[in-house]
Amino acid sequence: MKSKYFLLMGFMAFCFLALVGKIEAKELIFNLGYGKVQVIDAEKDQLLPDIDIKGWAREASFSADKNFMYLTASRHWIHKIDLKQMKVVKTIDMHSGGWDRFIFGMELLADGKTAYIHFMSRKASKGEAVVGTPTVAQIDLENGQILRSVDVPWGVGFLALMRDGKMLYAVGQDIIKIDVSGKEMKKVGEHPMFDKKMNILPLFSYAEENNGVALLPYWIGEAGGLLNVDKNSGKITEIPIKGGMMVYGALYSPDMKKAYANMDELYVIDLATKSITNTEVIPTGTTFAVMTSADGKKLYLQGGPTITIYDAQTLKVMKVLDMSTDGMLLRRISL
Amino acid sequence: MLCEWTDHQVFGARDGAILFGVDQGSLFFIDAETRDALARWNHGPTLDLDAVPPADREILEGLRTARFLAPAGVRHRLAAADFDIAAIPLTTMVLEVAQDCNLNCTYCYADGGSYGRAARFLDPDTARQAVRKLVADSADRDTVTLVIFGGEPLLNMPAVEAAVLEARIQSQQTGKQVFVSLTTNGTLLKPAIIDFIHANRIAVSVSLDGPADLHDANRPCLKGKGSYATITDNLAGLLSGATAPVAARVTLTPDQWPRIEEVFFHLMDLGFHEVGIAPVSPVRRNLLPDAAQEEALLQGFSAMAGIFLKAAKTNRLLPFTNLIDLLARLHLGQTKSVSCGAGYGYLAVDAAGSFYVCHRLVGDENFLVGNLDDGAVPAEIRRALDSVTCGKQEMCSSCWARTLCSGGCHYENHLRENQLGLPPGGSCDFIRRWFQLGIEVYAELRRTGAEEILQRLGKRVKC
Amino acid sequence: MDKKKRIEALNEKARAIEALASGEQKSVAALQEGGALNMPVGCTTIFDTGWETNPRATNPVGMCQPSSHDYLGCAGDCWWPAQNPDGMTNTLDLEQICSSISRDWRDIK
Repeated sequence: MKSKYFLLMGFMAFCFLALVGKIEAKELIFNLGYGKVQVIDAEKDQLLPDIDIKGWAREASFSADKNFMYLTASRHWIHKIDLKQMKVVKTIDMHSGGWDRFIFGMELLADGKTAYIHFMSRKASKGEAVVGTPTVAQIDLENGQILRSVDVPWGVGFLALMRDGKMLYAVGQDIIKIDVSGKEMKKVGEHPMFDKKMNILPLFSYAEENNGVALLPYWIGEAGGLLNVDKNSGKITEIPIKGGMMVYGALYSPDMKKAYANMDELYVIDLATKSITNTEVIPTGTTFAVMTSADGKKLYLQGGPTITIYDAQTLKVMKVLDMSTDGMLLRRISL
Repeated sequence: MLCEWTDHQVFGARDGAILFGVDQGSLFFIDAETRDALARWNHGPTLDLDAVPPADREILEGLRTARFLAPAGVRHRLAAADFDIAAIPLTTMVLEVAQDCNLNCTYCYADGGSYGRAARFLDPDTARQAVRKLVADSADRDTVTLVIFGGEPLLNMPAVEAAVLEARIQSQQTGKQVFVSLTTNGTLLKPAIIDFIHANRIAVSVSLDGPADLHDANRPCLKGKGSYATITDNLAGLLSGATAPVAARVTLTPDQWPRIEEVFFHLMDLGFHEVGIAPVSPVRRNLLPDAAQEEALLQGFSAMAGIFLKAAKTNRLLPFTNLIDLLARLHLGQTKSVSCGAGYGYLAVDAAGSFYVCHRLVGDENFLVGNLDDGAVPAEIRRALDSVTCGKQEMCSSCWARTLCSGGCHYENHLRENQLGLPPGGSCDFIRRWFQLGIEVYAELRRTGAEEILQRLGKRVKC
Repeated sequence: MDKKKRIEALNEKARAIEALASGEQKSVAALQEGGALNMPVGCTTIFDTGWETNPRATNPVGMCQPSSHDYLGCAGDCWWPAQNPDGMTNTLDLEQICSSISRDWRDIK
């Protein structure tokens, strides 16, 4: 009997290991929402338990070791979310020292101890409003303390830290290049866009899931396209798209031959010809965010409380997930 | 940007203009260019700033910054005051210790001191009760003022003494300051009384109208003899060793108005610390001035203003009460939404212990608002004040001086409108010209750099 | 500057008005730094010119379809054309009012 028992255990252990193997390759999509982050198992396209948060989620950044997700909420909290426990383990508040600070743009440093943030600030002094200068700062993620900082012009909405950790781009009306390698943060150059009458939307971009490249939609007059900010090389490239398109954000296919962009419609862009090869109206309405599955076979489009999942090849709707929160952005991680 | 002009008034100045912002109580000097631009664009209810040519627009922008232009449709007038009378503490009490008098002034508004009733004195116990009431009803105010009045208050020293001593006790008990002042005709200022006044730091106002001939014509004794000699005999004792200011309170009839300068300096020569000159209240029809007399009054005040400015050049503050009080208010930019404090923390008590909204209106049933035992009734105060102020809003709302005047003296209005049957607004022109004079004097003081004078003026108004 | 000489404050009230005005000018100057984009902080922080016009042929022009998809996204950051609560200054607990406007609008008090 005992031997049978052990055999059974052995068999179960084997099965368990097999299962564990599958869990280790877990792919999760996060819907950054209001008072919560909803978690989708991207393999089964099923909802996992919510992560409760204070505030309304806006930007996220994953630690290099994938143990944590840092999430900005209400533009002033930074929640540290433990991705094993799936809950907030620490929160720092950038409203401090009398100043209200509003974060637009966050990049984690590789060591996970500090982050670059861009913020606008204000305070009340003797009944009058005092507006601070927009700032890019390096902060200590333990306590929110500002370690060093540099003034930037108004309009920055997105930060891109180059892979080598030496250069930080602050993307706004223009792209401000900041040398962060020395003791002080120094503005060392500018990629002009405003004077070219380039109108850019730096609010729905993320590079981590996109091969280290941030794609930002832009318009120049009646022509439009995607601005490619490459964190690997530091190159900034304009990709004019024939006909232009009204979109919030865009993402490459994993092989970077195509791009997917979204607002009222889902656009498929062929990058060789720089033209829109397919469009699909999104039946559930306007979407803010687009995300591919890691293998590129599925597209997730989120708008309001629904996430519509498309087959990336056929653009057929595979599934619609009803969420309990409206969302702002989708982020993906493979654990 | 669509703008509206805020209420303002322009007064000429030698190289530009003075601009008075009605609701702000602000005074600005504007140069000739600004004045001309203002005249060019000050037509019509609204002004589209963007449609104004650049040169003028820059000037108008400056006026907008100074709050003379405001976004169209945004309410920028001072809201009409709606005070909760019950919530206003009592801070000033005029205590009529004697409703009787030993003089027979020609223009007396108190019917020879008795206010139309039988002559009576306030008994000392009631005097004490009144002072206790003043302090008790003053809520969180640190200071209160007791004005000892009459008739002629010095006819009733027992009550005067009782009131003053009670004031001292109350002050010690509550930690509040009780300022005591006394108005007297000056004929009964015997040494003992003077000693009492000095010992208790009572500020005194002596009713003395000017040189002997003028004064005696106005203020004869009951038997008909003049009172000037008696008063001036007493004056020296009052002034020497004075522990509080001694002011001269002058009343002039219209025919005497050309003598303002003479009166002022005569009283200054007698040694008074300050002189305030009041045109007589028209208690009888024959005391109403005609246009020429009003003009003479304004000329007299204007002459005083000129003398004041000259004195200011040598850093001397000419103690002409009328002008100093006005200049102090203009300096601060004080705006009024009610014309005076009567009923709003200021009440008069007659010899029977009844409350009236002010000392001039004592004896008139319409203005009786309560008594010491039961207190002043807020609804009665509201009723009494409404009976003189009602119906004037429209008339006042179009006047540039509305935040400086706010309707004028209730008593004067009551006299003119209710007793003499005159239509309201008879004094408005005069009042506006008086304010204009004050504004011009103020502007001159400021522009000639009379900083010290202005600072002293600022201290005068307890805001 | 020239303006100073043109209009001169005389009394204390006028001086107070001048002080107030110069304080206002300072805030305005701060907002104008850096060029043409004026981004007032405290109210609207998002000023993505052009994207709010969203010139689709069908209604609602300028906003998401349906409008509810725009609601919370615009509320938090106080997006300038949207008439909804602003999560930056006046409605700090925006997410507690409801997480999904189309699902939970009935819960709003």
